[in-house]
Amino acid sequence: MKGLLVKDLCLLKNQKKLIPIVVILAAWFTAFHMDSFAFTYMGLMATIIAIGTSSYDEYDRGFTYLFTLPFSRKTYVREKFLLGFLLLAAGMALAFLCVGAAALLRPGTIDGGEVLAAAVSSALICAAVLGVTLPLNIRYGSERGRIAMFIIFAAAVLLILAVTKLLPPSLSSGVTAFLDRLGGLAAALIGAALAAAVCIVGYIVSVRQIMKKEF
Amino acid sequence: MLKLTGVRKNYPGFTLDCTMEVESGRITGLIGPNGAGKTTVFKAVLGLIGTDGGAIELFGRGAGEATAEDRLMIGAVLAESGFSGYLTVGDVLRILRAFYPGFREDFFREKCEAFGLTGNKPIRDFSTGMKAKLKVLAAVSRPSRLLILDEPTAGLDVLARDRTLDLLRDYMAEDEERAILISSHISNDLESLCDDFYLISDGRIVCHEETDRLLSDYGILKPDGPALETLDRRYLLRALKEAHGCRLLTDQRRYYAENYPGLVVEKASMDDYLTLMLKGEAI
Repeated sequence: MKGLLVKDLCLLKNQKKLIPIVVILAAWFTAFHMDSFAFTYMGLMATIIAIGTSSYDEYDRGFTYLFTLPFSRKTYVREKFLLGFLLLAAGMALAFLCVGAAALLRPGTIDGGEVLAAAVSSALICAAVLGVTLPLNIRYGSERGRIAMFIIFAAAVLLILAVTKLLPPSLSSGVTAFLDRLGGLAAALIGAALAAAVCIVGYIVSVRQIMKKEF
Repeated sequence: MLKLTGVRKNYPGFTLDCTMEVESGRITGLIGPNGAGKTTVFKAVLGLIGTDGGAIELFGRGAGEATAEDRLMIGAVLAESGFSGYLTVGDVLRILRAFYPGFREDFFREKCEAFGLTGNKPIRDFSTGMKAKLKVLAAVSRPSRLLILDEPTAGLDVLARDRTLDLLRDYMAEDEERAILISSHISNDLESLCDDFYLISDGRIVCHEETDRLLSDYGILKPDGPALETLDRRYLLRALKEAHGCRLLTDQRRYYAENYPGLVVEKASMDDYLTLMLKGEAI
């Protein structure tokens, strides 16, 4: 695990030029009162970067050599999830720094509760994205995995739209009322449980896929 | 140290069926034409592909029972794959240090310097020879007991090849319990390095021979027309007809040299052996 993490951190050095751009953009969002979006943006960037390390592994048939090193295939999947969570935490921390700086520069304009809700929801959504994207990347490779990911997310959006359109108005307003009644903590717990479920399923599918793979 | 018993792997149009052994203290070569199944053998041993039958025994245990420690004991070089091209030599050092307790960092640095593998250039900008040197250095710097080397000298010039082979000899000299399984298209490399070798063709091991015996006992006979009829055929293995006569492979070169004074008798090289065994007709 340690060797894989060191390898990925070495690979991430190649993206160091991206960090100032990401931070500047996050600062720009907060400067224009888009505090919540800073969290979503940083979280998604962290997730994309973590997933991107598998395309570095894949480059020039690198997988074949990589899997001669002393780690199990299961460890490879675990490490990718761990890296994703670590980068996600780093992304959230950077977003907090940007929003914290904005709070100092324009006191009284930032709602702490709203910021916390944005951070938690962004982190949970990004964790779920990681749980969906990683098995796709392992199954199809980084190029085809990206296409598969777009198809799945487009299908998910269409499904949500269809469900909201097709639900009877009484049921639809009932769901909305239920969500409104939920306290922040309860909503966060439900969200966390859903994200954890997606990640667990993603992990199991990833392990199955990688066990079947031949290099 | 490594034993393959009836290991099968089926692909459309190709089946590997391999039985061979690599003993500790020995360097074993695997020779054969392109597409014979050498890389498939290496991949099966390294667990990169599944097998459809047979057994692979590594360090006295079934391949499926290999522990994490067993995997630490293997160093591999693959012809078509290496560290990600986005990494540098320094990154490779950091990664191997993290993976292998007992990684010989000073040795690796010193040899990288000697082989001209310095600077912060990403591996993708290396020449083929530089990549090959790095792969071999990364393998011999680990605290491994078994090296699996698929074409480790491919792309190296003569001088770099000699130095690389010296590295492998030094690796073996350091510990008599170590072993190497190696393939190469350059038969000179294997002749000077291997204790024994297997010849593989169409996924099957055709024969197994000691290198010393090949070089001391095997020979190529080049009889003219009438001489061919009078030759004792008991020690002839293969015959290959050519434009100007034929070549015969024997494993009793001295017998023919002593008993047929006019006969052209030459030492057999590994290339001769491979060509005659695969293209020649059995006698």
